[in-house]
Amino acid sequence: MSLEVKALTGGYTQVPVIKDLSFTVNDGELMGLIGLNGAGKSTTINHIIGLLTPQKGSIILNGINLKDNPNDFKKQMAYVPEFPVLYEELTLREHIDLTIKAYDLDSERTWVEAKKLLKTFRLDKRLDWFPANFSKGMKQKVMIVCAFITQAKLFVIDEPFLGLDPLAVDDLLKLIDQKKKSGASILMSTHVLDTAEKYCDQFALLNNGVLESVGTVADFQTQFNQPGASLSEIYLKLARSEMNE
Amino acid sequence: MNDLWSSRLKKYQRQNLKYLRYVLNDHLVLALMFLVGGVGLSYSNWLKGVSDTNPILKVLLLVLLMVPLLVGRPVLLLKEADKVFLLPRESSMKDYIKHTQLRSTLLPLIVGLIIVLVSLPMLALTFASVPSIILIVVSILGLMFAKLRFEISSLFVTSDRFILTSILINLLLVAVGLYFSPLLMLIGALIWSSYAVFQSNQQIRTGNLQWLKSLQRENNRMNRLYRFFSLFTEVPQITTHIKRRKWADPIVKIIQGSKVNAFRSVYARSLVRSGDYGSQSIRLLVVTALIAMFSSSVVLKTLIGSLATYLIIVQITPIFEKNEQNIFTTVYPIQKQMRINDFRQILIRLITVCSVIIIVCSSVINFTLSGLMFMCLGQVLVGLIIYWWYIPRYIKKLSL
Repeated sequence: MSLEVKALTGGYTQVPVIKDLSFTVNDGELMGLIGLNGAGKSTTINHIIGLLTPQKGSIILNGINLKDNPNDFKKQMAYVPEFPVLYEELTLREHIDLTIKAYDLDSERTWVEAKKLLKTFRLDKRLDWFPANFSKGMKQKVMIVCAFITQAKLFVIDEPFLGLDPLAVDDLLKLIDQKKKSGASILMSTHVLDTAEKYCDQFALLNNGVLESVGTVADFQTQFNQPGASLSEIYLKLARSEMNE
Repeated sequence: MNDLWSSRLKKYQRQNLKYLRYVLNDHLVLALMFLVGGVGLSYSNWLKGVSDTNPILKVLLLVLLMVPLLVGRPVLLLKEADKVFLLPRESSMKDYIKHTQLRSTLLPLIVGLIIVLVSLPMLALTFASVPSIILIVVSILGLMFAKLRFEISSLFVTSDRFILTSILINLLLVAVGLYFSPLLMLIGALIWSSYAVFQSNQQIRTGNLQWLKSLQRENNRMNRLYRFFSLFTEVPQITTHIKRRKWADPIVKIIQGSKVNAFRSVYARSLVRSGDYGSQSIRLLVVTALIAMFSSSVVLKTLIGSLATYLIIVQITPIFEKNEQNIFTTVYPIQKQMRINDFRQILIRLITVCSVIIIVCSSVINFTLSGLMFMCLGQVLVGLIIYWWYIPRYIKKLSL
């Protein structure tokens, strides 16, 4: 079950950027969304988090259709954007409070969890600072903390690895693993293929707004006839041949 | 670099002209004419009665003559991206900066001219000799030049001590000129400005442009300029600084109320912590409260009081739109209708607070029962207009 994207077509204007995408992210599964710049990764994500309205197709999370019941859909979803988005007037503490209120979480229990995460990401001394003035990496950590204190069933993470220090990347991967074990599904777009290959269960390869292929690295090796090749090798060869066409 | 400077200067001046059109509008010019006339009249009356040994004269002159020596910062016209794109042209930045010298003199020169004109009668009273006055005016020009040189050369070194020293020396020399001898002041000014030329050239030659410092200075200067323009019209380029304002937390509590919803506290905090919405409203509220307190005309009080409440609310409504632009406002599982309700609640509370303050102030000095009734009626009417007419229209316009 979990996230089902069916025949999704959409974009920012009448001209569709993504065409007829269909894929499923199962419970406890980490799906990597990969593709060149401009392939349609962010557009896909923007549709799934409800910022854009599909022209065709549907997005369903645990049986709830985003179009019919956006509020219940969003209650089950948390989002970590590629470029941190913060409320300039709120302190770190207030961002966490806002998340608690927005998702209707139990304040006490969530704060225990939040304190733990803040300590992991070395933000615990900055609760009363304005995250809007933080460095990019630290802002990103704030976004991660705010997303991972929720009890979401689906985590949508847009390019998390750029800007984070190695320690934070490692901590994030552990967090993702925990959420996976508790049954959540994760959709993550990234260009860092070596890391993705190690941690993602499946990949959706986007090209020019079309879903080229969905599967594991082993599937890709067979499909593109490159036994033993790494994801990065398969991807580079594919991208180069596309460009030469 | 010459082309870059001249194209930026052209753009800068065009922009300033555009805003000056709003600043020098008919109302302001009219008000200024009355103000200048009134102040001028009382100044000339005061001058007639004042004796030339009155110590106030020299103190006033000291303060006035320091003004052109304090205003004016280098007009750099640098942009944030310059620190990346102009990096390979590091050495030619010195040529670029040279251009600012002339342009930067403009503001202090204008201010200086006005100040000299204004203080001329007082100078005449104090010195009663034309050469002395000329000595002082020339010295002021020299000192102005010296300070600006140091302002510019300080962009090439890390310390600002020459600017500070320059200000102290200026104060000292103006005092010397007024209390001892204008000639001594001129000699001092000549020595100091020659030193300024020598020292600043040295600094520029040996130093490198301090990018972050220069950009910071230029941003601050532009922001001050925009803030001035924003008193008269909307200035989109203005960047506001968010401040924590811990002392204002009780105000946040009053605005958001006891039933704290997610967005109610966001709106309340935006209002209190961002510079643009809160400060203007507070100013308007204070002025209105004062008028309401000291005016004895019920009609005037009621009209101004109601108008103020309306304007205050109209001014802060963009807060809703600003929060809608944050994508998390949409990503969070909170329906738009809930946000609209929260926003309305905030506005009702604000209307109430404004109304109570204005009504209470209006009843402090000139209390009449009928006056109080009129005030209340006016405020209630405005509240209804905002709630039933203005807000629905605002929200409808947003969703289109």
